[in-house]
Amino acid sequence: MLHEILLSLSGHPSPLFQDGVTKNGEFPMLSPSEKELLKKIGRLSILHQNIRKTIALIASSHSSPICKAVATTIESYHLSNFQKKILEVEEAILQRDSAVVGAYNIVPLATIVTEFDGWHRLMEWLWEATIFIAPSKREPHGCNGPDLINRLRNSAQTGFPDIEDAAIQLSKVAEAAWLRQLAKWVLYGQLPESGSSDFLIQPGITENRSPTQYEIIQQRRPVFVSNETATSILFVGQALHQISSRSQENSTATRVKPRIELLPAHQKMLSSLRLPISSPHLSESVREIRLSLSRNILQKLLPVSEVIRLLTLLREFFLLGQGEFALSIIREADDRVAARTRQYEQKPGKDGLQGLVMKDAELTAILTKTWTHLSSLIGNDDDDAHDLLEMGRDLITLSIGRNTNNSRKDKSTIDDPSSKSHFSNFILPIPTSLDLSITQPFDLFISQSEIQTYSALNAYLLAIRRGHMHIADLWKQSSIRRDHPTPLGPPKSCTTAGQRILQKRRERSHARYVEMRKVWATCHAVLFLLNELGEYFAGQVLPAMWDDLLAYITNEPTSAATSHSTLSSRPPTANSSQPPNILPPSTPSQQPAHDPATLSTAHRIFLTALSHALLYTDTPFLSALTTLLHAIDDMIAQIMRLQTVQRNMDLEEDEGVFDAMENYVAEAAECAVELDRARKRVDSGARAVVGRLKELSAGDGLNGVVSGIGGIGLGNMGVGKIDGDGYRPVVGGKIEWLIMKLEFGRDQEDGEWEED
Amino acid sequence: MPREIITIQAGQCGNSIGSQFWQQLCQEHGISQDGNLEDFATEGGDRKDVFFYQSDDTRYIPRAILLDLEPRVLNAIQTGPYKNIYNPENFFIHKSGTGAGNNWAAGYAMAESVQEDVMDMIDREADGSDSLEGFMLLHSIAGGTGSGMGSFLLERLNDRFPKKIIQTYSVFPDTQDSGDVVVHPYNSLLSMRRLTENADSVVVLDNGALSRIAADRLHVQEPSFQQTNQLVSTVMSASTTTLRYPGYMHNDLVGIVASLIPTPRCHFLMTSYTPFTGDNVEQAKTVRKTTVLDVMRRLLQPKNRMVSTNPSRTSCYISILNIIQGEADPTDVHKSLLRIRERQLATFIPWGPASIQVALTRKSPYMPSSHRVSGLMLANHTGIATLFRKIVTLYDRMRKRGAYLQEYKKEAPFADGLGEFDEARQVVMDCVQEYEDAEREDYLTRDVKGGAERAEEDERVR
Repeated sequence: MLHEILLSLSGHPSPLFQDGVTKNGEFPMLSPSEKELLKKIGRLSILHQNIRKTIALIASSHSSPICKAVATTIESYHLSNFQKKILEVEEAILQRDSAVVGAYNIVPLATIVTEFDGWHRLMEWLWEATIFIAPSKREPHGCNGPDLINRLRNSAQTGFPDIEDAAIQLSKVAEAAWLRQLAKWVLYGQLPESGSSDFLIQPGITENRSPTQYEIIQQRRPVFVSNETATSILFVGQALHQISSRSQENSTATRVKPRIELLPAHQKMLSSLRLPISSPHLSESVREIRLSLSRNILQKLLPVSEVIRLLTLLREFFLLGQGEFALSIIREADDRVAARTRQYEQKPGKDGLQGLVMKDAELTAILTKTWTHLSSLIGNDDDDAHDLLEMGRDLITLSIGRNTNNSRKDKSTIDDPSSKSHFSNFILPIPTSLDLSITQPFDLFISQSEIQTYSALNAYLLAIRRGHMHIADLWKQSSIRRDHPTPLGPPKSCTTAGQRILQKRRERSHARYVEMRKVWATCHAVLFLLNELGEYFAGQVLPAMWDDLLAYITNEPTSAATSHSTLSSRPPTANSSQPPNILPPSTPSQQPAHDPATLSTAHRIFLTALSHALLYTDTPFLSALTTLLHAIDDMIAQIMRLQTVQRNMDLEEDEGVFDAMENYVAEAAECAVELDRARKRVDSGARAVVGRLKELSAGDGLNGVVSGIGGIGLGNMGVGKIDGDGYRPVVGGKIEWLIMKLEFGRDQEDGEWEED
Repeated sequence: MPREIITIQAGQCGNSIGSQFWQQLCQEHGISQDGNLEDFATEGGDRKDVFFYQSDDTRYIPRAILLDLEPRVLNAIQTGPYKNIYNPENFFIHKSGTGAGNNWAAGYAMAESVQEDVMDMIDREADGSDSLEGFMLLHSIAGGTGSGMGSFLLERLNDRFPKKIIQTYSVFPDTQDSGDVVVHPYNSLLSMRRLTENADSVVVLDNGALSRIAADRLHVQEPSFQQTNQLVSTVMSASTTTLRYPGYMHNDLVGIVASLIPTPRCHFLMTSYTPFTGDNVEQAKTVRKTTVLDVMRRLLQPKNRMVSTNPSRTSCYISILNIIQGEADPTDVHKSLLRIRERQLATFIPWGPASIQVALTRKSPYMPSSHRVSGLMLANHTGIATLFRKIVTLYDRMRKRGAYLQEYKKEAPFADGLGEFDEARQVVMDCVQEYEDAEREDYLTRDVKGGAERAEEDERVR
């Protein structure tokens, strides 16, 4: 009987205990109290068997090495301890140890049960742990490593010393396994081969623009890895990955070399970690590895000067630093549309309205022409400008908008695309976006979603510029601006007949001028508005913020206060050959340069702040502006129509060119009514824009939002501790200044704008 | 799209202003006297192609057409220090070489007789540009060639080049002191008609004001034409800086014109410039200090205007564009605007936004300057109508006496009578009326009488 008990405890199935309960009928000699005692033993025996079975299953099929390690540890340590205990008890019985064996060699069942008393809780716990690990219906692949690690850490705090010991012991095993995964990533930039699904970093599921994009899976993040550390881990691994893929491409051993030299040092940092891992120590190690990596390799991989080059590109073309770029692209687009329309008018019907739809190739042509134009403006000696242009040619594409509601995961992109995507179809009748393809080293710095933000801002700024240009173009319509065709001159003007004609024409044109006064006044007012708006963005907001970012990147000690007042002595020149301060930092000695990830974060913060400062986050303003820009287009179309009608009327009247099919007088009257409506819409649109600007300047949101950016950004993006000094953007320009100019002649008595 | 501008200089005054202007432009862009780029001119960032083209041997050639009916000034240019920069085919001197004798009609008639040659030159120059933006005509309206020939050209350009901006820099006569041209009211009035009808924008400079400024600022008692022309070329080069050193805004001519001129007829601009420095006048350099505020305030002072007007109480600005060169930043501009507003240094039209725009531009890096900041104001001010009224008054006085009309009747344009004078007067008075209307609150809504009715009203007033 005792033998049977011990055997069953050591994991052999026994008829004594089946399904965890003693069968009443089979052992009638047992007293109820004995049955109770046996029940406890039976439970242990069943647990032991089950644990062993499950562990066997785990060891053979579980995908996570961490789980496997823990499972085998349970088996090899805890279960073997248990078996040892059984053996001890057995030995004690055989040796008739007086502690176990009483008089007449009687071994009291109670004594044996007592011997195993300490094991109940532990075995129950182990059983729970194995069930947790094992595949179940809910999780057919079983739990993952980090979950287990977290669970073990929790268990260590249950308060029972035996469980605590066991949990800590298992934790060490689990974390050691995790650390091996980490080491592979942090030292070599490779995902662990086995159980990679366990790791906190996974290949991203982005569109296959950049296949080497990785991302952090929050569910796989063990508790001791803080958010910041996870970001750093991601960064380090990704950087290493790029280095290796690069050196494969280049097959230059020079780049790999420093990595090998660094390896022992990094390894040491990792191996100095004590198990179980403490969060601060891990962060510290990772930070050190990251610093050493960026100091030694990354700054060679993506030097600050390269970052500045990329940023300059974005500034010059996406943010329209080169006014000429904007002008040229808008003109080319207009030409293209006009050509399309002409084609359609000549051969309508062939493809129906389809013929009017732009194709990608045409967009490419627009951009190509723009580059050609820009390069013709650059002097021969101007290498910087040529380089920049070349880079633009290589990287920038103009394409039919795919940016509408692209799965935007990144939080740094501005939400609510609904109101903004409208700007993308101003320059051409279809949504168009300027894109930048991110090539190898730059993906350390910039992400696709940021480019999307740039594209959106570009469309927005272009739309404003385009509105301005198109209105200004009205001034080129000679027949409504000058007396075109020229009225009679001498000697005809001296004759009586000539004078009669002249008087008639004078009166006619005078009446038209009077009629058009309102329209011109509106055009002029809205031109002024767009001009000031553009000037505010391009002349105040952008330069100030841009210079500030540049100062941060190059580590120049400019305080926000001084930079604010002395920045930008003038608006950027259109084809300014030397983008300001492009020189790489000459004295990096006193302060280490920021590593690409820090710069990337700073840049992200900058971009968010910039979007705010450009009012691109204020939906009421944007919708007011969109309405205004559409109204302007409409009004321009009406003016052109009226002009055509008037020209035809004049031909009829002056030259006798009649078209029996047309009633120009009626059409002119209708046109005038339409024009008046369009004009009123523009007027109210402009009022709405100015109104919203005023609301913003009155503190309804903007200032608060902008001042909040620094804090929010830093918190969310987790730069904080990397270099000790996170980037805090200055807010370029003051919206009150803009309002002051827009309302220069008004409300003088209010005196609400104070000097500061 | 370079947005080229072709400069046409007509007559003695136009050509001397022009030659100063080109000299100034060459210096600012680092172009040597033979048209090559100077070795030091490596800065870049400027747009030379607006006003110059590059010949096959990469010399910079001005897009300039130099016209005169007598050889004196053009010969001087052709033998002067900058003789080599011009395209020799772009000189036109009338064969007779007699000039127009300060007679608008003679200038007009002679221009008509050579119009093919001249228009060929203009066409050739226009064909040589990718995307011509417009023309700049430099002339005076008091004499014969600038006014007569200039008028004729304006008519033809208007017809031939729709959708191209036509801007003129027109030197008006000194209405206080007729100088050597007695018949300037006739010539001016006849030219004014073309300026009103056929130009998009006219920068008015008047010799009276120019002499006064030259005397005041440069401390010269009797300034020579050379000196007043220097003022004009400074103004011209300053007003084209935004085109030549383009920024985000105002980098094309139409942008400038559109921002200054709302309604088509009110397209006469006045200018102020500060601080002036004569090359030879040391005292002029002792201007106290040049801050942005200082510059902007001085620009608004009537004594700095290069037009003599007699603004009434109701006169006001329609719009202002200040082009500030040098060390200025948006903060300074903002403060200056606040100050101007506080002190109500400028009043604006009641029917539109008070559009005072400030363009900050670069200074040429190759021109030494003793001033931190300099500024040009282009302003559309209703007070300019008083100058026109003055011209009309002078004309009326002469016309009443029938003085010197014989000279005009001799010429072909007036062979059939003097109706042209009446037409011109009417057009000018309409323009004056337009400016006066613009001062009124109800400018936009007013149901204005036609020209004829107003003519009657005018008669009654007189």
